[in-house]
Amino acid sequence: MSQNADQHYIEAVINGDTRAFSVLVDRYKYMVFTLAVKILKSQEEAEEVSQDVFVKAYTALSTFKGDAKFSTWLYKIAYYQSLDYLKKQKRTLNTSSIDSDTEFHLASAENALDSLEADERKLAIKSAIDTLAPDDAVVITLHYFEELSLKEIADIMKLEANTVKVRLFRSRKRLALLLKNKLEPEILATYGRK
Amino acid sequence: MEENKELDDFIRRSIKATGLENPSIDFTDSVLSKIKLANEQESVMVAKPLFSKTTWFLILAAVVAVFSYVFMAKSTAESTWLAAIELNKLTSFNLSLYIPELYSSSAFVYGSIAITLFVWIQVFLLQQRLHKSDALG
Repeated sequence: MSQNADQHYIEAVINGDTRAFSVLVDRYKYMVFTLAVKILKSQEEAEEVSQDVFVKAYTALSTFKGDAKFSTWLYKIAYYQSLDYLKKQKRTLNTSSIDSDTEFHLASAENALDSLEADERKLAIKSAIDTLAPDDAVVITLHYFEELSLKEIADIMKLEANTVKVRLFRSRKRLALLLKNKLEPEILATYGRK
Repeated sequence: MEENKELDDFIRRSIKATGLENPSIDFTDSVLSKIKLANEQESVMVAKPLFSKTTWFLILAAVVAVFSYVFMAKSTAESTWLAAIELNKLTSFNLSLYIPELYSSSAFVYGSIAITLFVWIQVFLLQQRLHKSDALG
């Protein structure tokens, strides 16, 4: 989404038009909610936290300088609001300890996916992402879905760009392996039914 | 390198295919009503100062005026009603002549100090606790 398209609504909100904020909410609620789900692993909690993210963004909108994209600024709030929620619940963010030398075979993961129906495939990928550590799921979602650069992700998560790069590399491998392991038994079961 | 690129494409395609999570249908309305509520609370909570800036200025002006009058009009304000109060008597006044002697044991003194100390610590702890619950609420 272009920054100019957001800027018009941001200015309207700052000038007192609360309704204009609903356009921004509608535009970004899916990504904010997805990030919260990835971290909190609960739809109900993610719903509550996401709503608070937008309320917080609304009250702090006048401090948004426009140096970064509005979306990046918002995702940063979402990320930290979710972490704060975990902290209040006395839960911690599980980070992964992935062996980067884990063996995987792309072809087998891809073949496994191809043999599934579209809906099943979607579900399989989704549950594989859910198995990732929250931080890795966030990195993967921001990079592959939102197409954010490593620098932008680093800015959101307050990490070094290089750290994000390593995490992305590992998560990618891990995800492929998870998909392969997850799908192979299902495919065998499908063959069994045929 | 080639495999990395393939893996990258594969993950991208897979992630895009799953789409994003969907929040509840009334998500936007809930956010807007929360904002409305926050705005209302904010307007209720705006505290009006007990003294306005003008009142403070008038008080300051009055204090300055009184002090300046006292210093400037020193010579003319002597030997009138102030002398009639006989403030100089106060210097020779000894309170201990009028009240019976108070005796307190050292146990009483230590006890009083300990109680004062405990009350003070409790006030401090309660204050901390209230602040904490305010911050959470």
